[in-house]
Amino acid sequence: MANFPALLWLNFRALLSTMRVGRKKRSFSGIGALALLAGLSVYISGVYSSMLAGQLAAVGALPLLLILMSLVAVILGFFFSLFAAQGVVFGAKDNDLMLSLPISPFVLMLSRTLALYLENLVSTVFVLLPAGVIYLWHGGPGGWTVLPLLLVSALFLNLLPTLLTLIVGFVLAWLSGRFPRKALASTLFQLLLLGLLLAGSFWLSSSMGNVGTAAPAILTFFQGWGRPFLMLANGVSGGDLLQLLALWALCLIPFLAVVWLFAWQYKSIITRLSTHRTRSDYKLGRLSTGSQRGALLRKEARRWFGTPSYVFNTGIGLLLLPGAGVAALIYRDSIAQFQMLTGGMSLAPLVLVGIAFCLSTVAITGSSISLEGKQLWLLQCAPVPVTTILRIKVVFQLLVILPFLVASWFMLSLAFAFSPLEWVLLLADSLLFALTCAPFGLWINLHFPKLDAVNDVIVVKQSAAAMLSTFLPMVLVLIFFLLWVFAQDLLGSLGLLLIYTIVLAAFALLFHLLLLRQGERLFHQLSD
Amino acid sequence: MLKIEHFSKTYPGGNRAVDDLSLHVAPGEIFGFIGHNGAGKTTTLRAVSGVMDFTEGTITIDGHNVRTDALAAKKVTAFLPDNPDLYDFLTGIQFLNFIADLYEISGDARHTLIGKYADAFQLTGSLGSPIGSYSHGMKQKLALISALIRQPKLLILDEPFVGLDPSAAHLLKQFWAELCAAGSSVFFSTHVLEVAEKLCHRVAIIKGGKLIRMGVTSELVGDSTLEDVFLELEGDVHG
Repeated sequence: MANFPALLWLNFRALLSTMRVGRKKRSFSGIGALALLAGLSVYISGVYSSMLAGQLAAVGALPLLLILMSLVAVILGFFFSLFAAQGVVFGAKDNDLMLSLPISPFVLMLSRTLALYLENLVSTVFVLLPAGVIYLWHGGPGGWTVLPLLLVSALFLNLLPTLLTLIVGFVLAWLSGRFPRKALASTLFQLLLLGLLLAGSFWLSSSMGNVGTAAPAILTFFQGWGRPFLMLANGVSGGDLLQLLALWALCLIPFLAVVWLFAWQYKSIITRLSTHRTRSDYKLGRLSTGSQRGALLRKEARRWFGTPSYVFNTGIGLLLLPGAGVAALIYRDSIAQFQMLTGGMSLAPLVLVGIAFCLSTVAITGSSISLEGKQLWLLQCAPVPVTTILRIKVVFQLLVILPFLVASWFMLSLAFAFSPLEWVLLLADSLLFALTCAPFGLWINLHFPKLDAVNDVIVVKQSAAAMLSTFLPMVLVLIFFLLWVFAQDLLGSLGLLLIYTIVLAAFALLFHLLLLRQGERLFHQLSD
Repeated sequence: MLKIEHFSKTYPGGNRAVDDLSLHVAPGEIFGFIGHNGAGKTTTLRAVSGVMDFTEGTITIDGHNVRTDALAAKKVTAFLPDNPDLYDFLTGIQFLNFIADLYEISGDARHTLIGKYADAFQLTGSLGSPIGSYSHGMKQKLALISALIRQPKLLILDEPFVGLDPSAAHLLKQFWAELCAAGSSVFFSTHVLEVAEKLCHRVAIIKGGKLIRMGVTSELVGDSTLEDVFLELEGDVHG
């Protein structure tokens, strides 16, 4: 165990370094990315807690806020670190080196798991802390001890998402090594998880409006499987130390048991997971020929479809788009009633904000340079213009988005009964937003490449470029939303949509020009 | 075939990896590039292949300037780095077809060439499997096949024998001889001085980014061995 602190530090630094890029002049540090993660957690917690607290305070059920937000903390922690467990704990590329050192597999496994735990802790703490502050702000019981107890509880509660990611990470790694169509199997499994998350979010959002009246029913739910969260709320708000101790034990014991189980068999697990079988019955048949552009496009498609974490991290918005369209068609009558109540207010700009939000999560180009990684030399020495290589990456993102976007636009426009001009402007704006995001993501990735990541999961999940190319377009989405809130009366629906068109056309043009002018130079600099 | 004139490369941070290097590789020639770790061999090979940009000096391949006529130069070149990472998500045959498409090799030619080289390296049966399932040696062979099917005028290789089994290494030497007989050239770096001494028509020795000796191998070695010459030049021989 003497090696343990050094290993823990090494693995935590490895996790952090995945968020850092090498160039000194443009460094985006791991600490910076952790701050981004913390900021995102604070934002989510702040929004949900504020919305819930008022209603819960009105019915005297404010401790329910702590229950719900601790559940949110666990879910967020789980999703933030899901792929890290697969990549860092079970799929690390330094396994051969590590296992050859005089370190026990148990200590190695434990250090990797705890590195994951430390990363998770950031989101858990920064979800619980704002929730605690808002809870106290609304006069929740418990006094000054609430925040310290919440922080201590966060240390234990954080074991739950770490435990879950460990188990799911193992299943993902197992699936990816077991099935002939491993990418498909892994993608389907992740889509199943995503479905559960979306169902949970939908449930939480739909409960938001009547959470006050539903408080007793929610409490009943938490008396069953959700008991740990109830114990946390009772312990923190009521000062019931016995409940807190029980909660801490409930988090710690299963965690230690599962870690011990994995650690006990760790060497054999990672050996089995890293074993590949190569078939030897291929017979050379007729080979198809294609153009350079076609070859590059097929390569992009095979990388995307063949990398489940890439699909999962950049495909959520694609599912949300038609999902929103179908939901809008189902609730078509309710939408019409709402519009009548608001005096025929058109929601087209708001629908665009929703579409743009979904599109901003489809940041395929934000990782596509980093994912070339050590294979970049293949493109660098290929007799293909750099502009073609970059353009194909942009085109691929647009091709992936287009069918989902058009289907969503059609259903939403139909459901919201937009005017013909709104139909046209909504489609134009949506396409322009997609045309902005694709070159922007690539431009960002060229500035913040992560070519030395130990696996693809780290690039698509945690690299600076992946984060920036997803979250920066959301700033534009937020500005559009604020414009709708504050300027809809002044400008009207068509006026706003026209402003969006002008802004988006300018951005799309800007990033295409930037890519054309700087792309080749930045691409060549990747070798230095 | 290859002309390097006054080539220098300084990395960001001020490290001058190569300093005023000039050398020529004639058609049909196997040219060995020798030097200790960090001498500037890989930097030179990467600049020649178009993988790395540079500002000082001129490099031309078959008359095409690597900087100003890069695509034409790349079209007649095949480069393999010391540890050629390939696309793990593609199968072997998908990768070879991808390369064939990029280099615009006709359907018939790619079928013939892939068959010839894959059979020779005993890799045909595995071409349907994902590259991610290949061993290091299999990846090395696949990378070599992808280079050879281009029938390049200049084959550039960085430490090509690392990871190859003896029979694959023997085959590779045969294919080099075939290429050179057809007028192509091979420009490679190596630490295995015995191989360089036996294979190369000419060798160049680089130290600290500067060319310190170049010539016909037999003349350079004389009655000694290439290893002795190299160590003497490196200043590592005492007494």
